[in-house]
Amino acid sequence: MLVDSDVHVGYETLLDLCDYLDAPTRELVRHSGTNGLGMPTYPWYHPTGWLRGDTYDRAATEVGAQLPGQDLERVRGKLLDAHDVSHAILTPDQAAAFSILPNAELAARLCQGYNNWLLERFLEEEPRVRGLLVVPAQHPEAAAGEIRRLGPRDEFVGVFLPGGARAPYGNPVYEPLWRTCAELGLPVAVHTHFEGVGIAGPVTAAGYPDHYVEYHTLCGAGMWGHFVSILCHGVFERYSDARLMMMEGGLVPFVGLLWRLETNWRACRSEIPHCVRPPSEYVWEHVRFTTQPLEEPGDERLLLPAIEGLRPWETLCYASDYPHWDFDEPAQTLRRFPVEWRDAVAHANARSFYRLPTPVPA
Amino acid sequence: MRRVAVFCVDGRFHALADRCPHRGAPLCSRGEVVTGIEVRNGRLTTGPPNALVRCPWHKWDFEIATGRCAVHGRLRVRRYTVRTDGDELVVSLDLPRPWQTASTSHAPG
Repeated sequence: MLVDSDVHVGYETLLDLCDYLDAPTRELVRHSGTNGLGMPTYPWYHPTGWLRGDTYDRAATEVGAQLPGQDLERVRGKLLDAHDVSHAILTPDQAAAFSILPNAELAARLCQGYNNWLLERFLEEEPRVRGLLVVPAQHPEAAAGEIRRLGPRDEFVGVFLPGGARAPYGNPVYEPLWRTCAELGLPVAVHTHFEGVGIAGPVTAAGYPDHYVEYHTLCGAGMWGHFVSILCHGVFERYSDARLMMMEGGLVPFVGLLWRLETNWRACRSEIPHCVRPPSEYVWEHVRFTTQPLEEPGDERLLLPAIEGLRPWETLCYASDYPHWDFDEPAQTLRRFPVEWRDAVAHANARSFYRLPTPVPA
Repeated sequence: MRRVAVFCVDGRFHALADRCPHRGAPLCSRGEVVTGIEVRNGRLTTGPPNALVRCPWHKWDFEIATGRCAVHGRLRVRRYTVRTDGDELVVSLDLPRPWQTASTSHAPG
């Protein structure tokens, strides 16, 4: 059994969402710009290609296309069937940018259109895929409304937030979102995306990096900011059932961060009284991490000691990041963990976190 | 099943396994033949044309002529000996002996 906790799907152009949008938003999508509404995007391009070269037809793809050719049939063939995936958690591509638009009202309406599209085109058609709701992080009240609208459906198993943001996700402005997730029993999944783009802060305090490779090495920094913020603001103390998935932020950096935070907590607790317990206790109970991209030290023996501080047998959930270039092939990835962890990492931890049904044997 | 790809670079034939030694991706059949970018004498320039095959998954580059990975010192894609016999190309599924080059023939004509 295999649960893939990070599979990216997306529309080819924003026009694909027109049938799923309200009429005024449809007008904006069609008539904005020179030939339709565009989304802000990264100022760097991957020098050798964003995607696995064997997942799309490059000759048939327009310059600047988002996620070409990743319809349900392709995802079934290249991933679900090819790797015997029992459940895949679907994450957005360009739609993650809705949360970093300055126009918060437009963002909210685009999110609704995307979730409608995802439900009809993927989730209702294939029981092995489950969706994360895309919501406008910059408009927490509207985000709460969207979570209430579609969150009760079994097809949605969580709420997606990008790493790039105006404020870290523990900040009190997000209270409506956390409260609604708690009411519905839905976890929040924060995924590296659009750091330094739109209204999001720069990827680090050093300022804007020149190159994509710098960005991709550093992009976990958004995740680390949200991780520390959520812990320090006591979100898990207020909402005892809240759950948080950290996606694509790396694993090794979280080990050191947690140590440093816990040391600081001992001295600085009076500043953050809502964080009642040592932060690590909240992590074991409430936080999980997707494995991709699994760090690749030159000496492979260094990996396991470097991540042991994260209790990986409890907290790791395998993810491929299909169809991106840093795809982690499942068998090769799981082989890097001790055999006694493998069931937990391959499916049990994710199944428990997302409350997925156990697949019935064929 | 073993898949072998044959390349012709600068008039010489080379045969490589269609399997990336990193994580098993279809290196040759779904990869891309590319020209490297390098800095020489302080100037940005390109390397020998079409001398590299780039893995479709993680984009690691391999020298077609030697199988060596351009980004990982210890990795090498499996190579096979190629020779011409009249109009035919013959690929031997033995690994080349250390004293042989992977390609011993030039393209005809």
